[in-house]
Amino acid sequence: MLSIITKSINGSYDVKLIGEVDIYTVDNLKKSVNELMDKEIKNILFDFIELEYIDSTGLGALIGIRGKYKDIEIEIVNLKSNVKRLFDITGLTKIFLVK
Amino acid sequence: MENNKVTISLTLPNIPEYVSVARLTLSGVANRMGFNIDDIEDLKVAISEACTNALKYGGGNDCSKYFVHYTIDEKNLIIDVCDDGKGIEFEKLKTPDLDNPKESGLGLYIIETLMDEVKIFKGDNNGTTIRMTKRLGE
Repeated sequence: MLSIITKSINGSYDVKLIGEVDIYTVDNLKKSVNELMDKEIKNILFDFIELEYIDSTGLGALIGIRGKYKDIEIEIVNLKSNVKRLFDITGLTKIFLVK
Repeated sequence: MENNKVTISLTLPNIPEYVSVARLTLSGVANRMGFNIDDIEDLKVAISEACTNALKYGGGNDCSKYFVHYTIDEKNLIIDVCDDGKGIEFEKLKTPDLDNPKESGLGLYIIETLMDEVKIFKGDNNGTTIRMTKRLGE
Protein backbone atom coordinates (compact mmCIF):
# COMPACT_ATOMS: atom_id res chain seq x y z
CA MET A 1 0.00 0.00 0.00
CA LEU A 2 1.08 3.58 -0.66
CA SER A 3 -0.34 6.82 0.68
CA ILE A 4 0.77 10.20 -0.60
CA ILE A 5 0.34 13.42 1.34
CA THR A 6 0.99 16.69 -0.49
CA LYS A 7 1.41 20.15 1.05
CA SER A 8 2.14 23.37 -0.80
CA ILE A 9 3.75 26.64 0.30
CA ASN A 10 4.29 29.38 -2.31
CA GLY A 11 5.04 27.12 -5.24
CA SER A 12 7.04 24.64 -3.15
CA TYR A 13 5.52 21.23 -2.72
CA ASP A 14 6.21 18.70 0.02
CA VAL A 15 5.31 15.18 -1.08
CA LYS A 16 5.36 12.57 1.66
CA LEU A 17 5.32 8.93 0.59
CA ILE A 18 3.98 6.50 3.19
CA GLY A 19 4.26 2.76 2.69
CA GLU A 20 5.61 0.88 -0.33
CA VAL A 21 6.30 1.79 -3.97
CA ASP A 22 6.27 -1.26 -6.22
CA ILE A 23 4.76 -2.34 -9.54
CA TYR A 24 1.28 -2.17 -7.98
CA THR A 25 1.49 1.28 -6.36
CA VAL A 26 3.83 3.12 -8.74
CA ASP A 27 1.00 4.44 -10.92
CA ASN A 28 -0.39 6.18 -7.87
CA LEU A 29 2.94 8.01 -7.47
CA LYS A 30 3.11 8.99 -11.16
CA LYS A 31 -0.48 10.24 -11.14
CA SER A 32 0.00 12.35 -8.01
CA VAL A 33 3.14 14.01 -9.36
CA ASN A 34 1.63 14.64 -12.78
CA GLU A 35 -1.35 16.34 -11.13
CA LEU A 36 1.05 18.59 -9.21
CA MET A 37 2.85 19.56 -12.38
CA ASP A 38 -0.30 21.14 -13.78
CA LYS A 39 0.18 23.87 -11.18
CA GLU A 40 2.73 26.65 -10.94
CA ILE A 41 5.53 24.82 -9.26
CA LYS A 42 9.16 25.65 -8.53
CA ASN A 43 10.39 22.78 -6.47
CA ILE A 44 9.37 19.48 -4.94
CA LEU A 45 10.63 17.98 -1.74
CA PHE A 46 9.99 14.25 -1.43
CA ASP A 47 9.94 13.17 2.20
CA PHE A 48 10.80 9.45 2.47
CA ILE A 49 10.67 9.23 6.28
CA GLU A 50 7.75 6.81 6.15
CA LEU A 51 8.70 5.11 2.89
CA GLU A 52 9.35 1.52 3.90
CA TYR A 53 10.10 0.04 0.50
CA ILE A 54 10.90 1.06 -3.07
CA ASP A 55 12.24 -0.94 -6.03
CA SER A 56 13.20 -0.27 -9.64
CA THR A 57 9.61 0.54 -10.62
CA GLY A 58 9.60 3.47 -8.18
CA LEU A 59 13.17 4.50 -8.98
CA GLY A 60 12.24 4.43 -12.67
CA ALA A 61 9.26 6.70 -11.99
CA LEU A 62 11.51 9.19 -10.18
CA ILE A 63 14.02 9.14 -13.06
CA GLY A 64 11.10 9.76 -15.43
CA ILE A 65 9.91 12.73 -13.36
CA ARG A 66 13.45 14.15 -13.30
CA GLY A 67 13.74 13.84 -17.08
CA LYS A 68 10.31 15.23 -17.84
CA TYR A 69 10.46 18.30 -15.58
CA LYS A 70 14.05 19.49 -15.99
CA ASP A 71 13.46 23.01 -14.67
CA ILE A 72 12.03 21.98 -11.34
CA GLU A 73 14.30 21.48 -8.37
CA ILE A 74 13.72 18.07 -6.80
CA GLU A 75 15.03 17.23 -3.36
CA ILE A 76 14.66 13.92 -1.53
CA VAL A 77 15.06 13.74 2.23
CA ASN A 78 14.93 11.24 5.11
CA LEU A 79 15.87 8.10 3.18
CA LYS A 80 16.01 4.93 5.25
CA SER A 81 19.29 3.02 4.95
CA ASN A 82 17.83 0.34 2.63
CA VAL A 83 16.44 3.00 0.30
CA LYS A 84 19.67 5.05 0.37
CA ARG A 85 21.58 1.91 -0.58
CA LEU A 86 19.42 1.48 -3.70
CA PHE A 87 19.95 5.14 -4.62
CA ASP A 88 23.72 4.60 -4.34
CA ILE A 89 23.68 1.36 -6.36
CA THR A 90 21.66 2.84 -9.21
CA GLY A 91 23.34 6.25 -9.42
CA LEU A 92 20.23 8.20 -8.38
CA THR A 93 22.26 10.17 -5.85
CA LYS A 94 23.94 11.79 -8.87
CA ILE A 95 20.75 13.14 -10.43
CA PHE A 96 18.79 14.13 -7.31
CA LEU A 97 19.62 16.34 -4.39
CA VAL A 98 19.53 13.71 -1.62
CA LYS A 99 19.74 14.59 2.06
CA MET B 1 23.06 -31.81 3.13
CA GLU B 2 20.56 -32.61 0.39
CA ASN B 3 18.23 -34.15 2.97
CA ASN B 4 18.08 -30.95 4.96
CA LYS B 5 16.70 -28.93 2.08
CA VAL B 6 13.20 -27.56 2.37
CA THR B 7 11.27 -25.86 -0.42
CA ILE B 8 8.31 -23.53 0.00
CA SER B 9 6.41 -22.69 -3.17
CA LEU B 10 3.94 -20.01 -4.20
CA THR B 11 1.82 -19.80 -7.32
CA LEU B 12 1.02 -16.16 -7.99
CA PRO B 13 -1.35 -14.62 -10.51
CA ASN B 14 -0.02 -12.17 -13.11
CA ILE B 15 -1.51 -9.30 -11.12
CA PRO B 16 0.80 -6.62 -9.68
CA GLU B 17 -1.12 -6.43 -6.41
CA TYR B 18 0.23 -9.81 -5.29
CA VAL B 19 3.97 -9.16 -5.63
CA SER B 20 3.78 -8.04 -2.00
CA VAL B 21 2.78 -11.62 -1.06
CA ALA B 22 6.13 -12.87 -2.42
CA ARG B 23 7.87 -10.23 -0.25
CA LEU B 24 5.91 -11.13 2.86
CA THR B 25 6.66 -14.84 2.46
CA LEU B 26 10.31 -13.99 1.88
CA SER B 27 10.45 -11.96 5.10
CA GLY B 28 9.10 -14.91 7.07
CA VAL B 29 11.46 -17.44 5.51
CA ALA B 30 14.59 -15.26 5.73
CA ASN B 31 13.84 -14.17 9.28
CA ARG B 32 13.46 -17.78 10.34
CA MET B 33 16.82 -18.63 8.74
CA GLY B 34 18.55 -15.88 10.73
CA PHE B 35 19.23 -13.25 8.07
CA ASN B 36 19.68 -9.75 9.52
CA ILE B 37 17.35 -6.84 8.74
CA ASP B 38 19.61 -5.32 6.06
CA ASP B 39 19.86 -8.65 4.23
CA ILE B 40 16.10 -9.13 4.42
CA GLU B 41 15.55 -5.67 2.91
CA ASP B 42 17.94 -6.54 0.06
CA LEU B 43 16.20 -9.89 -0.50
CA LYS B 44 12.79 -8.18 -0.61
CA VAL B 45 13.97 -5.87 -3.38
CA ALA B 46 15.62 -8.69 -5.34
CA ILE B 47 12.55 -10.93 -5.25
CA SER B 48 10.26 -8.06 -6.24
CA GLU B 49 12.48 -7.24 -9.20
CA ALA B 50 12.27 -10.86 -10.35
CA CYS B 51 8.47 -10.90 -9.89
CA THR B 52 8.14 -7.59 -11.76
CA ASN B 53 10.15 -9.18 -14.55
CA ALA B 54 7.83 -12.20 -14.61
CA LEU B 55 4.82 -9.88 -14.79
CA LYS B 56 6.33 -7.88 -17.64
CA TYR B 57 7.68 -10.73 -19.75
CA GLY B 58 5.57 -13.69 -18.61
CA GLY B 59 2.25 -14.86 -19.96
CA GLY B 60 1.00 -11.31 -20.16
CA ASN B 61 -2.65 -11.52 -19.16
CA ASP B 62 -4.52 -11.68 -15.87
CA CYS B 63 -5.19 -15.42 -16.27
CA SER B 64 -1.48 -16.21 -16.41
CA LYS B 65 0.54 -17.13 -13.39
CA TYR B 66 4.13 -17.45 -12.25
CA PHE B 67 5.89 -19.44 -9.57
CA VAL B 68 8.18 -18.58 -6.68
CA HIS B 69 10.16 -21.33 -4.94
CA TYR B 70 12.15 -20.67 -1.78
CA THR B 71 14.69 -23.45 -1.15
CA ILE B 72 16.38 -23.39 2.22
CA ASP B 73 19.36 -25.28 3.53
CA GLU B 74 21.56 -24.48 6.50
CA LYS B 75 23.52 -21.70 4.86
CA ASN B 76 21.71 -20.73 1.66
CA LEU B 77 18.44 -19.28 0.56
CA ILE B 78 17.80 -20.05 -3.11
CA ILE B 79 14.88 -18.27 -4.73
CA ASP B 80 13.54 -19.32 -8.13
CA VAL B 81 11.08 -17.06 -9.91
CA CYS B 82 9.69 -18.86 -12.97
CA ASP B 83 7.33 -17.48 -15.55
CA ASP B 84 5.58 -19.31 -18.36
CA GLY B 85 6.01 -16.60 -20.94
CA LYS B 86 8.17 -16.13 -23.95
CA GLY B 87 11.16 -15.21 -21.82
CA ILE B 88 13.51 -12.28 -22.00
CA GLU B 89 16.22 -11.84 -24.58
CA PHE B 90 19.36 -12.11 -22.49
CA GLU B 91 21.62 -11.01 -25.30
CA LYS B 92 19.91 -7.63 -25.33
CA LEU B 93 20.44 -6.99 -21.62
CA LYS B 94 22.99 -4.28 -21.00
CA THR B 95 24.63 -2.93 -17.90
CA PRO B 96 22.90 0.38 -17.19
CA ASP B 97 24.81 3.64 -17.53
CA LEU B 98 24.81 4.79 -13.93
CA ASP B 99 25.93 8.32 -14.83
CA ASN B 100 22.82 8.67 -16.91
CA PRO B 101 20.09 6.50 -15.32
CA LYS B 102 17.10 5.48 -17.45
CA GLU B 103 13.55 4.69 -16.40
CA SER B 104 13.83 0.98 -17.16
CA GLY B 105 16.54 -1.65 -17.27
CA LEU B 106 17.58 -1.41 -13.62
CA GLY B 107 15.84 -4.54 -12.31
CA LEU B 108 18.32 -7.27 -13.19
CA TYR B 109 21.26 -5.03 -12.37
CA ILE B 110 19.81 -4.48 -8.88
CA ILE B 111 19.28 -8.23 -8.41
CA GLU B 112 22.88 -8.97 -9.38
CA THR B 113 24.17 -6.31 -7.02
CA LEU B 114 22.15 -7.46 -4.02
CA MET B 115 22.42 -11.24 -4.32
CA ASP B 116 25.49 -13.50 -4.01
CA GLU B 117 24.72 -15.53 -7.11
CA VAL B 118 22.25 -15.09 -9.99
CA LYS B 119 21.47 -17.45 -12.84
CA ILE B 120 18.91 -16.93 -15.58
CA PHE B 121 17.82 -19.83 -17.71
CA LYS B 122 14.97 -21.12 -19.83
CA GLY B 123 12.63 -23.50 -18.06
CA ASP B 124 10.91 -26.63 -19.42
CA ASN B 125 7.93 -24.59 -20.60
CA ASN B 126 10.19 -22.14 -22.47
CA GLY B 127 9.56 -19.48 -19.86
CA THR B 128 12.31 -17.79 -17.89
CA THR B 129 13.64 -18.75 -14.46
CA ILE B 130 15.67 -16.31 -12.40
CA ARG B 131 17.57 -18.18 -9.69
CA MET B 132 19.00 -16.04 -6.91
CA THR B 133 21.11 -17.26 -4.01
CA LYS B 134 21.91 -15.45 -0.79
CA ARG B 135 24.32 -17.02 1.67
CA LEU B 136 23.83 -16.61 5.38
CA GLY B 137 26.54 -14.63 7.13
CA GLU B 138 28.27 -13.06 4.11
